[in-house]
Amino acid sequence: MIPDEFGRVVILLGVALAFPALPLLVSYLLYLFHIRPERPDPIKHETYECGVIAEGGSWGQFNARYYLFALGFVIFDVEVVFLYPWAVIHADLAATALVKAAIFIGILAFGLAYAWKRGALEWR
Amino acid sequence: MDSVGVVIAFYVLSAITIVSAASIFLLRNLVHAIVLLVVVFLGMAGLFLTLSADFIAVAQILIYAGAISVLFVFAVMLTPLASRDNGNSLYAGPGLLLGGAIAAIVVVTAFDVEWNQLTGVALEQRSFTDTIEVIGNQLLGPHVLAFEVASVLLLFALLGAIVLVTDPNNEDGTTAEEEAGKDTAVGGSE
Amino acid sequence: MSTEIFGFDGVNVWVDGLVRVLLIVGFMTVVVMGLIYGERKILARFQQRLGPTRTGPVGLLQSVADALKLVGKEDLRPRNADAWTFELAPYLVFVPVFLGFVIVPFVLDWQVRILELGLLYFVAVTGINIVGWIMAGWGSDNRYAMIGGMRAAAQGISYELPLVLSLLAVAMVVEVPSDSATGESLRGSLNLNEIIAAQAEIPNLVWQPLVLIVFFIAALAELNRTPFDIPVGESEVVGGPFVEYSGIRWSMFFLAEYAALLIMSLIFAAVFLGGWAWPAGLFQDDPWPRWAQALLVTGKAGLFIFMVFWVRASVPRLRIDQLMSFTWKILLPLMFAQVLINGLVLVYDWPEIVLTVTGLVGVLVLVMAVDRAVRHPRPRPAPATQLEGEAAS
Repeated sequence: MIPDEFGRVVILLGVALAFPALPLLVSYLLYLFHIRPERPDPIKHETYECGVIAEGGSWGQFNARYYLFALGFVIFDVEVVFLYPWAVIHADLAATALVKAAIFIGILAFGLAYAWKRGALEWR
Repeated sequence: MDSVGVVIAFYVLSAITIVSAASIFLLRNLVHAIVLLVVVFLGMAGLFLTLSADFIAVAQILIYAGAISVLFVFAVMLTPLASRDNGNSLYAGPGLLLGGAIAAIVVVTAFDVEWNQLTGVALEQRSFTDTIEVIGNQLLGPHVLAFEVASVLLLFALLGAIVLVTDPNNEDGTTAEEEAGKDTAVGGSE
Repeated sequence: MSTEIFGFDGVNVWVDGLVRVLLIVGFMTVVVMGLIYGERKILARFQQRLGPTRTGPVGLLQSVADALKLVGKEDLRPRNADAWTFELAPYLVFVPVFLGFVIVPFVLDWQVRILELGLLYFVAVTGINIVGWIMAGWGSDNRYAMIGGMRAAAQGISYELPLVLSLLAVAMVVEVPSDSATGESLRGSLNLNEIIAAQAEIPNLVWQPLVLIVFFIAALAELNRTPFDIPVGESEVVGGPFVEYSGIRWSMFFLAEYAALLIMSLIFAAVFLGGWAWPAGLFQDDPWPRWAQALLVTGKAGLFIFMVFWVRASVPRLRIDQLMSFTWKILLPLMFAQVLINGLVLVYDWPEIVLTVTGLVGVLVLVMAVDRAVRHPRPRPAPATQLEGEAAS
């Protein structure tokens, strides 16, 4: 069962993991044969900041909006996953299935409308 | 279904999942922990796949590996603990204990329950090509209440997020920090 | 265990799998190099330049020269960078994109694996690379990279919703005979082969014009293409997450970007333009020979890619507040409306022309909303406590 069904997928996964390593390997071989330069230099290994020495770390507290949008994404993503089974079978079921899904979408559309009205969708 | 490939896949995926999950407790760096969390989610998706639960597996990747992990990243980026010289791992011990306790409960339950196993004719009668149709029929048929309650639950999560970020006293939706920030941090870029 | 490939019988299945995957790898590498050259040439034409001309005839070897240069460059890692995340990030960006090739239907009966949940698998797997972008941004220990990574994540997740919903809308209208019933009842499908076969006579482009446009916009955003290139905008965050990458690691990001463009174009060709089936299905019942199918798919995918380059040459970059408003306030409600209309039409057996009309009305609404936003631009909201509303220092 496995070679027919998922064997090719496993091979593809293996190649996907190996393929990015190939150019790295070539690059390393070029280094071993002294074709590729490898001249470490403290300035070269500084963090890039347009030539100025960087002050402080890169980390800063980020805007809380990022979190809000991520949460909104999770919520609507879950909704869409619930809708996929309905989308595939809906024609089998009569109008009741449509009403059920419409209620489902409607409740969340209300949430979206509320977020819009409260200005939670504004990025500032 | 129990061909050699499935058995190998089960053990490999289990090993990846358990090792990554245990490492999350031990790592000090939050971003490394999130990356391993993604590995755990992917491993679990693979385990679902070995159980022929293809829809659950894909939903696991879409929601957990794709969405929840990004949510975690953003949550972490809001805390000072995301800086790379974070030396805190105060809760490693209690975390491992709690995780071990939960794992023990799951293991005991798994061995204690009489699982219904379908074999022979019964198994063949239950065969279906894809699970999504079965799930859809169940979701919109007998379990429609759970389906609708799920949307109410999601609505409350959304409302909670809105309340969290916007200031209730301020109808134009500026954040609480902004209001506070106006007094202190005018032109304050160091 | 053996199988058949290219008319050779009795090939071992593992060999067969390996041949297929290696063919895909080769195809991808060649096409990506071609795309890089093509993009430079096409953009040059739009800007009344010549583009690359020096390497090889009309600059054809430019990509090869670039690749050689990148392999020969020093592999730098900033001193402050986090070794693990920095070195693994290119993997996490590239591998999910490459896994998307599993379901891509190149020609009839020729792909890695037919999945029943093909479309859902595609969006799920390619969505993982958002984590790779964040890793690249955080691992570099550079403010530009960090901001770029966060922007990439925020944009990627926001535009994934219209993308997923557009594919959902298409999956609904594809009518496949349900095998559980006697072939009378119909159901939607997520299986790309079934979706293509169902479009043999009329492609989805006719029934779902709005969905096609929303998919195109969302795809542009997922690919970080202009006008949605704030995560990598050279003039703002100097390359965003890749700012610290050099040489061969940087080329992996580039490869992933163009491979994603290739996959997106193939999915677009399959889902909206009928892949290998349309317009062959108009003339005869049997599909065309494989070389003609391949030509057909290449042409359709090429159309998508050309549109992407065209948009890049024509439209300026959006601000982050415009970007977020666009997806959450315009695209998402429109797609919900489209899904419900699709449901109505299918359940009550209304004539399918209703779908076309409502789709075109939706396109009109979209155009009017964009037009209104362009004519009456809202001032950028006052910055919060932080610089640019993104990073506090």
